[in-house]
Amino acid sequence: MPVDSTASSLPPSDSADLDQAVIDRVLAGDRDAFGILIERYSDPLYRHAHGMTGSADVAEDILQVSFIKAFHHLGEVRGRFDAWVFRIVANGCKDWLKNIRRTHLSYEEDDQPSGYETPDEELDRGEIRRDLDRALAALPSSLREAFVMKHVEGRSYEEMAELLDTTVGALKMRVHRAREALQKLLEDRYS
Amino acid sequence: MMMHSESLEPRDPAVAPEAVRQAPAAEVDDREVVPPFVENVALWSAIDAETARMRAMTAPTGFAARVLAGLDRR
Repeated sequence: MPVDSTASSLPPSDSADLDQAVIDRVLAGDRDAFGILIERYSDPLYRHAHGMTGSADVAEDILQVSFIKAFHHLGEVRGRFDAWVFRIVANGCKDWLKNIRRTHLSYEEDDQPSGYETPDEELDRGEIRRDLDRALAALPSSLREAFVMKHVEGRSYEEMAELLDTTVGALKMRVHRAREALQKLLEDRYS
Repeated sequence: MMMHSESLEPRDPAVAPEAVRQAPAAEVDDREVVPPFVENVALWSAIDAETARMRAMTAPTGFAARVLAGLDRR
């Protein structure tokens, strides 16, 4: 059966209905139908994980673990599946960031793997990308999350507020602070 | 000669004039207005171009199949 991945571009209510129909199929034993949900939401969730961790490999790992967790707890979904699975991925990213920062706490500043990428990944990136990843890694996770959701994922403030369960005003402030901090970190190199 | 009994109070300007003079200055510093953020146009043009490229990223090919295969291993 062809995979329907159009739901993420539909209005939320239509999208939620489509998702619920798939969830019902999975819960009834059609395990492969879960692939429809993965196809629908893996791209925006991958962008989130990649923006938060700065690593393609880590992003894929977090996403894979998150979808497996989602599959095993699918019967607990209340409300929108996309918001529910987003929270699983977002929490996975924050946990990873906490662990990596704790791991590198004793390192000298210059030794810190700011982008956390592998050497091969780093070689594949342009200079601005490397600098941006390093600057993003220096931000508190709440500012980084807001910047990534707004500028990398291209979400509206209203959508961000719904996913993060906060206000539009608070998110505008976080994005503003993130931009200020990023400019301060990068200005010397790009003035 | 002690002028009156309150002259030893630390808040008395006659005893602690330096502290009294400094306090308002410190308060002014706390209220200092932060200059408005002026965006560096050239920098943000470069960052915006990069974030636009990042916005086009997609999950790796075959990702859904790998997750489904992972369900079998658990």
